[in-house]
Amino acid sequence: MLAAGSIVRQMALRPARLALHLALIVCSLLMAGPFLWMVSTSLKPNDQIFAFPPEWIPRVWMWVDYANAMQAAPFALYFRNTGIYAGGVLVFQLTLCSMAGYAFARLPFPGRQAIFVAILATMMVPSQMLLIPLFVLLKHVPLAGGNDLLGAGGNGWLDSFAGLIVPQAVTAFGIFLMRQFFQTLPAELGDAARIDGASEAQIFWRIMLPLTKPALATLGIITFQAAWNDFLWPLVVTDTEATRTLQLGLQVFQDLNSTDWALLMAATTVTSLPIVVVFLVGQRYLVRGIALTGLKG
Amino acid sequence: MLLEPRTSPQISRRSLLAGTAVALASVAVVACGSASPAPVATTAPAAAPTKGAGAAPTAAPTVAAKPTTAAQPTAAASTSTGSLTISFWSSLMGSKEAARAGLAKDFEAANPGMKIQHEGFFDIMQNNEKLLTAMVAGNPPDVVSNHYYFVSNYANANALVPLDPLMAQSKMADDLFVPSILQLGQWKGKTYALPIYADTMAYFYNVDLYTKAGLDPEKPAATWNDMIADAKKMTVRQGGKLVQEGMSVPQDASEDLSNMFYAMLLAGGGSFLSGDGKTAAFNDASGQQALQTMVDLVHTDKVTDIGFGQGLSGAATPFYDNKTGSRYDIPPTIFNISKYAPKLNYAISPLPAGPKGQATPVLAFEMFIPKGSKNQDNAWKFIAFAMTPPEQVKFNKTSNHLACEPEALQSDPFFTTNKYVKPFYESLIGFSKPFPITPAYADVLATLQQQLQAAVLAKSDVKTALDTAASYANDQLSKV
Amino acid sequence: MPAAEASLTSEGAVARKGSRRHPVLADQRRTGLLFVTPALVLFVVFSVVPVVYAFYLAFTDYRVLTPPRWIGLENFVAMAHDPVFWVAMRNTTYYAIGYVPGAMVLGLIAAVLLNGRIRGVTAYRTAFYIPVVTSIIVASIIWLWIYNPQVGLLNWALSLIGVQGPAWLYSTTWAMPAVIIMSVWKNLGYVMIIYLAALQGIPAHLYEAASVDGASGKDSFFKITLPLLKPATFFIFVISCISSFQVFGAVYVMTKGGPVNSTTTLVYEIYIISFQALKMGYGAAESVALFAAIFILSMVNFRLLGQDTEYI
Repeated sequence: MLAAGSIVRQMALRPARLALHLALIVCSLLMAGPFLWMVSTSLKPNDQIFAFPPEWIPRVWMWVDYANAMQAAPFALYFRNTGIYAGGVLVFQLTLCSMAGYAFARLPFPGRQAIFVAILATMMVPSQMLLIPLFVLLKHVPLAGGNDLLGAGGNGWLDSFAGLIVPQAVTAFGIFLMRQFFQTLPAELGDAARIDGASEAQIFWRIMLPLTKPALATLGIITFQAAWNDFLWPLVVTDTEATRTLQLGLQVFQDLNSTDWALLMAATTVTSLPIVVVFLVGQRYLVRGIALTGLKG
Repeated sequence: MLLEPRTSPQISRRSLLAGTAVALASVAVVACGSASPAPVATTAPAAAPTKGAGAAPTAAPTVAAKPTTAAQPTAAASTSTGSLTISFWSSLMGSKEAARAGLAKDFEAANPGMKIQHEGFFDIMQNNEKLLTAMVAGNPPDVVSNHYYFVSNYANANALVPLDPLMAQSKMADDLFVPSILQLGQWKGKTYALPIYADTMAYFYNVDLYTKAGLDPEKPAATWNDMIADAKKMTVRQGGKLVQEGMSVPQDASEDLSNMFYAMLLAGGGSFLSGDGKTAAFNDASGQQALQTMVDLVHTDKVTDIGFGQGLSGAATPFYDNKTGSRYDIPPTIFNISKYAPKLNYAISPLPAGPKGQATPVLAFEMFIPKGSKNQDNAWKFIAFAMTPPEQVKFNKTSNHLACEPEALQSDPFFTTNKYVKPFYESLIGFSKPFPITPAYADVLATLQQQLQAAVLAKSDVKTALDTAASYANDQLSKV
Repeated sequence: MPAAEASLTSEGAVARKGSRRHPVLADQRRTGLLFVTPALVLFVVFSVVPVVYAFYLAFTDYRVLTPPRWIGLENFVAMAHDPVFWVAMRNTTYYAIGYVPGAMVLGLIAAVLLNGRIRGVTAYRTAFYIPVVTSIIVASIIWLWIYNPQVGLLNWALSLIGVQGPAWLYSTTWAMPAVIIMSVWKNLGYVMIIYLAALQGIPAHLYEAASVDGASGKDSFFKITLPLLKPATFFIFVISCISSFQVFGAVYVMTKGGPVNSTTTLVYEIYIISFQALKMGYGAAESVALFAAIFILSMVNFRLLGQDTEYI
């Protein structure tokens, strides 16, 4: 059976396939090069790190750097905090963006177009400009962190997981993405169910949503990675160790004039792994057979 | 199944206009709502507008209740609530991590029950950003440590607690500090910050390469002419390609570049600002000579090539690899070399003398108290503790910087006899002048660095580059 | 289709007016509002309000540590005469023109190649996605080395074919292309996974039918794949345009806007002006200008490409 969308399949000749694999390997090395350099540096002894031009194979394999790096700061705590932040954002986004995306794509409600344009418009302002107002907003959330009904007196949602997660729970990007994907699903898919008396919500939940697994997987990967690697937002919102995330924790190895490169690279390698895992899991949904099924004429 | 294209609704012109109208209307509402003058408290202005659309009460954060009349020396101290936990934000990370942790531990040991809660930012700009957001929202930390050049900015905006009265209370005299360093934390004659560590600049050279070039490593370059001649002797090209640079000349729009320029400007008798601090003076003859010397090193004397070994500061510098004869640098490099190139045979001497003699700039990292802190008594306690000579010695020995007090410096042979630190110490005591002190400095610096780079890369001639930077500087200085 | 059933289909519902008599339309409207409300509430509070506040600041002189002072259009007048602003605007446009097609085309090629069942496809996909994961600091170190005029990989490779490479990040001509190349490298993984997801939605039987009719791989790609990817392409194009106009990280770490402002982009300029020079009112005005530019560009996109088509 022909695998659809795969030009590769059309290349039956062996030399063509070999050439393709060669090209892919070269490209993969180029793409993954810096990451590999990071791992290589994490294992090199200090006096080899700045060999000029750079060397790739460690002269002595410094596995101990990994242990030292993880002990330089409470990384287990930072892993947990970052997991809560990224996981929380992930769950919210997948839920809210798919619902809103579907509504914008398939459910006519008043003002739909105008609101969509306004949502997109908010993406067009640089996020640095929004830091201060967002910070002040979080500080004044009523009845949180010691605040009274009017939002005064305490710290609101600052330095809390709520403050980290909730402002990131929905993004224009996520809504836009899901809208586009829902638009590729034929509207008539729900007709049979409608005739049987299903509500629109049931149609969404039972029919439409399951067909967007690839889109959800992609949104999930992107959202998780963005939150996991996020530096600026946790910097602004968090103050104490209790909510500190990994990216902030990595700074313990750096300063203005000197950086502990070996330990920094080791720590960065370790903190990158969960994203790679999420990617590996998610990309399994980006495979033929998961999407449209049962579309008969 | 047939292929039947179906069009779904396009974004119509009406909804486009509607969306824009919504956005603009909100701007109008908010703008109207907040056109009234903000409350007097200078550190909490933004509360009103952010309440969003509608008539929210101008509920400024309760911090506004604290006294804004900082003129009375003990007023601030007496109304602070004195929590035992002191929040401390600093850029004292990496090589200073251990020193800072040690300081905190010593303080906690000397003051049982008190705790230092630290948040670190390796990037001084992020430290600044975060502090600004906190100041605006009215809940800044108790003590902050950052690069000196932010101090005049904050002081000028009246956002820092003046320290003179507190110093008087604790019987801390001005002359406890090296004068050029103390100035870095002062603005309009008042002290707003005290220095925790200082850096001057010195001349680093590779002993092996010196010897190979037929020079005497015991007699490093004493004047600019010597420096240029020595650099030329240490430049090695093979087959037309540069394999060893005689002297490293920074080519990024970075602190390295502006530091070297400033050091040479001072050695030529020049200064950054005019006496009254209102106009730029760095584009005069001494400035042009300084920059021209740097440009000539690259293009006329050819002691280095464009892009040779330049990279992220602290990463991949050819000096570590015996490929650079000499460079201008600061104390932290000692630490880096001992870590990344322990076998490097190098030495340090005070900067060569320019046309008007020897000079070195000095910068410092300061400690200061934001006005919004609710814990000013204890904040001061911590700072005063950090300023005691034994703590200064300990901090700077651990982190490879210079202590800021003559008493501290002279009390420990580390500063006066260690072969690497001694030149920095001698420079500091003998002929150091502070880096520029003005709130406009951070802004002007970015432009200056771009213009210096333009000159070094031969995209612009020296006079034009400096005049462009100076005219921008004058603009900004007039608005201070 | 029987009349009774017609009224229950979405087509039937739209064909008649008034939701009172047509439960499907009413249900759709209700559900639509319900689905959209949680997102909207969060949006208004955490996106709209800060954006509106930023717009307000554009009309003030705001030095951060002192209250904002209303100055009307002064910031915009100053901006019109500010050479650095126009340089930044020009650089940003240059960046967008270089980056968007590069990232989209290469991302699409990667997705198409890695969509099938070839050996090691997971490993290849991971390798292509890894730059997205790699921190900008790590990426910059390696790319600074790659671009080093004397010993960098790029000039070395060029020398093998007898070409003398330029000074890259030290050349006002080549610094921006260098930053663009690095950005494309860093982000093509994003584009790839979005296209991969979209490719899964193309029914297999279309290709089967085409090949039965004698279509080659190339034909299938241009006549089936590309058209059916339109919603995804449109999305990626708009998102890439928006994000390329806001490029900041790469510039901040690699070139600090240099040499001589040749890589200063608008957001970099806004950041420096707002947080280093503490002229946040002016920075906000520049943000409004940036917003206007992106908004216009996006609306043009919508007009030209917003014709969404679906194939049953």
